[in-house]
Amino acid sequence: MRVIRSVPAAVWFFALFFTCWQALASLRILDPLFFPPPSRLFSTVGSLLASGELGREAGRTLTRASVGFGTGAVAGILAAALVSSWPWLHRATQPAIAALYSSPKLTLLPMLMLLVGVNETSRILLVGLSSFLLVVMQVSDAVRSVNPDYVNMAASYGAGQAMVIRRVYLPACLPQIFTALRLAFGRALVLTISIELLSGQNGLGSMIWSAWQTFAVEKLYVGVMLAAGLGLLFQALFRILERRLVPWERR
Amino acid sequence: MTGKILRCSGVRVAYGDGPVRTTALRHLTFEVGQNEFLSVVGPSGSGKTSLLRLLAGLLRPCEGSVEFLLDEPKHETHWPLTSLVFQENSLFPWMTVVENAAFALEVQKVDRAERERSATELLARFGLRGRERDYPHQLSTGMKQRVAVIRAFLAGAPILLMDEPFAALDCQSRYRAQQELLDLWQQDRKTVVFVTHDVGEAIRLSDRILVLSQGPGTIIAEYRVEQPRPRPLLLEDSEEMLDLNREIFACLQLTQPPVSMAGAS
Repeated sequence: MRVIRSVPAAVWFFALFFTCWQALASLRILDPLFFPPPSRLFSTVGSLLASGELGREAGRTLTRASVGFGTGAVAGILAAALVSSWPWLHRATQPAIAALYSSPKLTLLPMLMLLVGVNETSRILLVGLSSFLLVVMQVSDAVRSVNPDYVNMAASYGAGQAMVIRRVYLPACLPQIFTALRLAFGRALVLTISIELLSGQNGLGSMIWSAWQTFAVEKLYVGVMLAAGLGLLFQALFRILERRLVPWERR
Repeated sequence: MTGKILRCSGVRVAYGDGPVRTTALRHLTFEVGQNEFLSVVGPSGSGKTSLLRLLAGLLRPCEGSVEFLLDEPKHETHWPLTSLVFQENSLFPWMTVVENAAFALEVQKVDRAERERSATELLARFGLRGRERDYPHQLSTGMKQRVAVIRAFLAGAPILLMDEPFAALDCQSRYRAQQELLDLWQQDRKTVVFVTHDVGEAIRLSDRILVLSQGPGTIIAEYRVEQPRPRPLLLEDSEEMLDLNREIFACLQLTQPPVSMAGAS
């Protein structure tokens, strides 16, 4: 019983899921043409890894997502600091940011291609824009919800503005900054793969699309699972980082 | 008591703008003596917290003046004259106990090793040895308020303002916190303005008690607690103090609307 409990429930769920799938496919209850059994998927992963295709395509997707996310997030944090310092700037820009934030980003791709060209820049720009919007919304919200008691307390001890920013605003917002970064990276990855599916010559999205067009069903499955797995992996990494850098949060 | 340290004359404090502007304090005139322990009691909504915010410089009077009557050269620097202990959110959640305790020294640009040494020393004296690197959420409410009081003392400001600092504590911890506050105060007689709704607490701690009326608050009575220090813990059990307690309590009752007995059988 103790052994069963020491393994996370999610691991049991996946094990059970794949075992049932394998069994149903072996018994021909599931058509292996449409539902290739996990054993065949694993061997496909092996051959794709050996040929270097999987690593190469995943690497391209991750690079695109990271560059877009990185520039967007940095710009977002700076912009949040700016709009938080000038309330009128916040009031002026908030509706535009909210409108862009709630529109499907992919619809902006053709426009960006028109303005910047059908190239890597337009793709990364769109990913960056998505991260920027999420981060600027969340972080400026965080700044405005800092408890004024803490600001007053610091001020009552004679802390100047720079110190209040460094010792009160920044740490008070850090948990929400992390949440924003984690969500923004997740979206960056999703958006990158969607863009590749639509317009890329390479990357995971384009690998999935070409697998569909050539009816390489195993490769199709592997691509989709890898995309999901990467999302999961990076969410976990962000959480670990957050736990280390925000040790005062009650968990 | 040597002289006066603080004088409020004809102060009015109001919040908000235009038609929704509400007056929190009116016709407020009083002085605080150097090294005096002054308590302010009053019903909820009598403007007790506004009074402390006014003295801390977080609120400006719209009429009258608040003067600090200090002549020591130290107070010409940027150091604040007051340090304020809040009732809730009294510690920064993202700083460890020692960082919280030493925050005022950090503001004053005291070297890290030096400020941590001073803070650790006081923390150890007040039962927080080994808790220096904990975060506030790992402490009990009593411990948190102890750290807040230590920080206020370390700030070196001549006037300590305390806003019901022990209101959230259970009875046992409250007695203990009061005793610790008196111990600290006994060594380093700062001027204290202590706001509370607990008359017994005011009597145990103070030299003088001001009673505020229902809001907008103004001073309606003043009592002296003529008891030598150090005082016994159960000071208010004496006949004399029980009388004082009753008297202040009656005075507070007068300021509040009568309790409706309708429906009581």
